[in-house]
Amino acid sequence: MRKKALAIISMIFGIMLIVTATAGCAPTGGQTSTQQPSTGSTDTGKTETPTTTAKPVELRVEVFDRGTPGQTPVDNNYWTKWIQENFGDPNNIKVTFVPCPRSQEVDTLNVWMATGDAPDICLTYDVATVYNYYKEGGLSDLTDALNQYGAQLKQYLGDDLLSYGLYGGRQYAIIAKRVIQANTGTFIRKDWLEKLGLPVPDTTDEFYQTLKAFKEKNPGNVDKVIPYAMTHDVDYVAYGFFQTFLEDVSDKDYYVKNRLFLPGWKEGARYLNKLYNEGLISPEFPLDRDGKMRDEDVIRGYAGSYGGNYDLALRNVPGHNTNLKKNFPDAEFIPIDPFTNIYSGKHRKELYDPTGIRMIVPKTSQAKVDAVIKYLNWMADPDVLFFLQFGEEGVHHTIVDGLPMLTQVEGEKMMPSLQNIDYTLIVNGIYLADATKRIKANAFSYPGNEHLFEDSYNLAIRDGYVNPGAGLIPTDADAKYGKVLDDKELEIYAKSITAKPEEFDAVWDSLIQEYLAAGGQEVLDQRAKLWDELRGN
Amino acid sequence: MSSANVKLSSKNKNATTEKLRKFLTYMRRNYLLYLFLVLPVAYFFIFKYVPMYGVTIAFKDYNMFLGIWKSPWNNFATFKEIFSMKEFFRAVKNTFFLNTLDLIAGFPAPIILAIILSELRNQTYKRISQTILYLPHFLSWIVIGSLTIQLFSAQSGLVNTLIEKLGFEPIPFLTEKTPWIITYTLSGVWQSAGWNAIIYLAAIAGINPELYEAATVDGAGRLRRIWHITLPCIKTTIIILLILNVGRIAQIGFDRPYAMGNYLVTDASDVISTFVYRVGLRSGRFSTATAVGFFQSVVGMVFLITANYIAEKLGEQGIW
Repeated sequence: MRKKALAIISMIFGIMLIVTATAGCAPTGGQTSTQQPSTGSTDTGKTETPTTTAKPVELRVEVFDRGTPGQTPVDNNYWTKWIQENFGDPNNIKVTFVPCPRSQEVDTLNVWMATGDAPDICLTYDVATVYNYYKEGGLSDLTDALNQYGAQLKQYLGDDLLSYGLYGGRQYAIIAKRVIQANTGTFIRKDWLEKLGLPVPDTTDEFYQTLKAFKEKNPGNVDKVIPYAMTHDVDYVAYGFFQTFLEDVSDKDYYVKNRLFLPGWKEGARYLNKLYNEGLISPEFPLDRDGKMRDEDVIRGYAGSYGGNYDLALRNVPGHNTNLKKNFPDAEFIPIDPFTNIYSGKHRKELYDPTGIRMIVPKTSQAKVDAVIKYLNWMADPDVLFFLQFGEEGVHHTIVDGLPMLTQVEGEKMMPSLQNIDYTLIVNGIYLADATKRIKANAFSYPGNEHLFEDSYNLAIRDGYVNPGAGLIPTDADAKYGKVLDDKELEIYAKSITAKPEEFDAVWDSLIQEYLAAGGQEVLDQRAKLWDELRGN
Repeated sequence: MSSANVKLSSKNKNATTEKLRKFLTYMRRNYLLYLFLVLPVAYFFIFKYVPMYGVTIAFKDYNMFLGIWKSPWNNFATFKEIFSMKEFFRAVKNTFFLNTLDLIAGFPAPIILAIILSELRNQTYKRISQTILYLPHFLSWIVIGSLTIQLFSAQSGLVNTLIEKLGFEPIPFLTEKTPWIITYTLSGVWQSAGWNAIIYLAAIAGINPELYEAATVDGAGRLRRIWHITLPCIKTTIIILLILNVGRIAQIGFDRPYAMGNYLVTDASDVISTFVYRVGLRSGRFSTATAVGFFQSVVGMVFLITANYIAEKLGEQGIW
């Protein structure tokens, strides 16, 4: 009896072994073929038979999970139910949300794509990833569906924005509208300026003199004064210094020679090298890989100025101004824009292109492109968008000076992300049809710093321009070497800026050679070729 | 002649049936043990051996939408590419260099620690210090990385603030190559010495105490006893662990060099794992990443076999 039982158990183990081993190798074809018939049923359902009788199409939409404290489940809450009631039910579509951890945006997407489990609407900010998928034949063509069902969406986005998603003349990605194109800004301690009787610096040189005064006079009377706080992300946090020395170049050159090879860029680094050797910038900025050391220096009152996102000092997190004021009630960082180009005298700076997140439909969801476009088209309705961004009046927002001001909501009706950005796929930032109202409404997002927002924004877009190559597809070399070269670039800054002034040229030049050898040359060549092909000379 | 042949074959036949019968009896008696092994063997087969077919993407132009099987072969193009990369060789060189230092500094440390601990008389003190010594093992390198910055940064680190208060120049522990390598190596010793000492402590505990008593009677002091009894008795353990460590010389964890490194010391800190992360995973070039990983495994295998061979030649027990 016992023996028999054991024999059976061993047989079960054996079978399990074989089943699991073969299950892993099963082809993924079965999944796509079962989805095929649903296209037919939706088409016929739309034209003839009443929709209630047809089986609803399931539309799977990716949603970022940011792990906001106290949030309701991102795939089942007040907002998803509202979407189902107002879009899903009338269209006989069942909208299912598929969560993805915000920090694993690309990794998770790669896994989904590779296993064929990707949702029908996938999201990413990474242009190179989208292009890679397109190149490998993993995306669905949205052109026809967009023409048929996307009139409202097309009008909302406009041709310019739609063109960012065109590959080979066909629409493979829908790109969200970015409301705020402001990119970088600089901030300075207002109370330090006042204490030393200095004006707000208005040129790069005046800024340099101010930093020197901070260093010598130590107006905050702190242990280790850091006139200009920096992180390892040099080309971003010290962007203005580079812009000061840039020569005017043709659009093609500007796109091809991206940053490092633009005439004058090296002089910006040389200037920072001088500042470093005079002790004016964070002495160990290459160690600060996440901005935490900078944040500490700012909040503890060691830093006199710094650069970064145009609204960095105003943000609630990490709360530079807010937390600084807790330590020093009179202290405040105000936005400035001292960097003046030595050739044009302008405060030139590159802005974000007007694009937000990229929405793509994997090849496996080819059958559902109509439903995808219907969904996004519905969202482009101003009333829908307003509700998703601002919710109900009296609950999620109040009207102040004719502008909606969001209030903190907790519990069932809470927004899991700022302005519900993860549900309002087609917009990035507070969107109101009126452009000036838009900016004013954005200021409400910075409680305690509202008075600084308009200045920050206006300074950050003054003399701004979008990279002329912004709409181009990434070259193969960009896709292949992009991340490696980004790292190499930061290494160049770290090593050349911390070098002795007399060694700066040698360090810079030898690292540039390494950069070119690590794929940089290929990028330069392919970019030039791509530009000639698509934009002419 | 023919009868003799028949006899022989029948004898053979008898022998084989005899063997079979013996085997069956053996199996009947012990099959439960084998049955128990089915699950672990299945585990290793499914989760360790089956996924190995994924290594084929090192030899293919991997396209995630075609899958591993359908992606086209690329005629060693991946390997040609990585062998033409200067940074790849730098990463290999750094991996060997840092691992060799780890071996030199990190291998004897737990042995010394274990011997010191085993010589302690006060059991309470011994237990407490042992626990404290192996606690760092449970800290992740990301935590240790930020601790190191807090402690050793030249600008605001605790250690350098002390050095400055004493009137000396701050030491660039993290921003210059040589000091960084020393910081890296010693942090490894600090993290793992206590944990690795446990194995040696166990080996030492297994030594027959009579040996020590006899030595004491013969007038051997403490150092003599360590030299002539403790060390020879744990020699086998030492050699096996040495072989294993040498086998791992081409392998390097990702988190430690990544958490400790920065752009000023990439010449020393960029190792194979960080290189794979940068080139392969962040840029989505899985073929390249797999090829580098494959290369790493082959080199590691060579080292392991060599070390084992040498150990066996020296008359020690190998790992097979």
